[in-house]
Amino acid sequence: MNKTVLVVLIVLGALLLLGLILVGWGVSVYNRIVTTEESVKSAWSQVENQYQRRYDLVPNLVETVKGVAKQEQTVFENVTRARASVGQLTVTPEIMNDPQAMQRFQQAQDALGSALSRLLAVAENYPQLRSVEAFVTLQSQLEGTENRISVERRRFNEAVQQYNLMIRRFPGSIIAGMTGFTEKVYFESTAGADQPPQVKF
Amino acid sequence: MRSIRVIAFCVAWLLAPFVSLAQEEVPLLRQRVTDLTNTLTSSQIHFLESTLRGYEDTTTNQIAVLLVGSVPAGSIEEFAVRVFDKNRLGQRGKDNGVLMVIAKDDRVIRIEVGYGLEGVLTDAVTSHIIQRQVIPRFRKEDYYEGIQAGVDAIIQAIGGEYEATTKGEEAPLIATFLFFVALVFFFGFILPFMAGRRRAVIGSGRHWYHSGWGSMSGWGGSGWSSGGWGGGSWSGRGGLSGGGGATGRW
Repeated sequence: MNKTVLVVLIVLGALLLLGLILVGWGVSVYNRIVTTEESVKSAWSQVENQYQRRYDLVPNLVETVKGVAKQEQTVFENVTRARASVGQLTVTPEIMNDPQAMQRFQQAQDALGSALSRLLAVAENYPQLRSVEAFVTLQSQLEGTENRISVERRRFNEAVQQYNLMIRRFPGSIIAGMTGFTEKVYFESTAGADQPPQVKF
Repeated sequence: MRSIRVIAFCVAWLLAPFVSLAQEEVPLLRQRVTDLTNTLTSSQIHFLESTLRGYEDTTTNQIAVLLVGSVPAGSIEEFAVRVFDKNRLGQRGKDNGVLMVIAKDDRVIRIEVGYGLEGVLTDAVTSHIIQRQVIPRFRKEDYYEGIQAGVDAIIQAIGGEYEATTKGEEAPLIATFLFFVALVFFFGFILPFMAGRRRAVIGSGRHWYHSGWGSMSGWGGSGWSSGGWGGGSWSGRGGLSGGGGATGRW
């Protein structure tokens, strides 16, 4: 009689302990997913910063090249149009969960990238631009910004990969499923779209 | 048959992280000047090293130079970021590191700038340094002079960014402070307390006294180890870069 009560108590205690351990484990996994998601978000904001930086460079660059190469109207128009379509995008952090929005963002940015490199390629035909200090500075800024964009894109993809793995691999996937974490979208490398080979600085 | 496949899969899965590590081929920098091409003489390396060490001691800015034959894979921009990422040049939080990578056989140089120095070492300034200071000398195969001129120009461009007030004093100051707190605590509180205990409980007094000393020496030890922060083999201090800087060819 007394023994059965003891056994029941022990079993109950063990179950309670197991439950507590499970809950503790779930909370720690959840927290890890949250941390990883935050790192994806901060990686995204870096990507956005760098694209914004390029966006801000464009007007000055166009003006500087215009000063020497007035007749290249179509090139300037292309750049201005591509920049305008980038400006029209409303980008929220939600874009990371929305493949279509991400694709639109990428297309617009890639179009601006290729218009810009077309502009620089045309500028190569005007050797006198080389002696314009402002142009040389802007060119190195643009080059640096393109490089920063590719670095931050790579970091973003790495952060997304880590996050996606965490919410898809087995134990994490249970917690992610229960708490509503979903996969995030990668940046796809658009071969040649943003950096045509003919532009070498 | 199936079990073999399962075992093979398990082995591959276990080995995967090591394989991906082996593919990286990014050098770990153990000193500020690393020459994998035997271009510089040891006294030149020594001189550059001491310039950079002195500069780092007064400003905490970490500048490192790496000479390689050719870039293992991909562009030099990518390589430079990987080297920077692995070695974490600059102080954590300040990101004040600069990495100069020279791929001698590819005839290309990149200066990669940490986030914290992007404001002073802008892409334009960096590109200017490469074009005006480094490349003319590299064209004449004066590699040492080129590197030296580049390093000097970088130091000049950074100027007064990040003074050494934090590094030179912060760690020892905290260590000394903690040490004094521990001393005051020990003499003002624990010792009288223990003395009281000893008088009251004569048998266990010795035991109390000894445990008191043990924890005391533990305190002092941790204080000293954080005080000896600047010594030993050199390494990056947790800084990051994001592709800022410039590239030049000769």
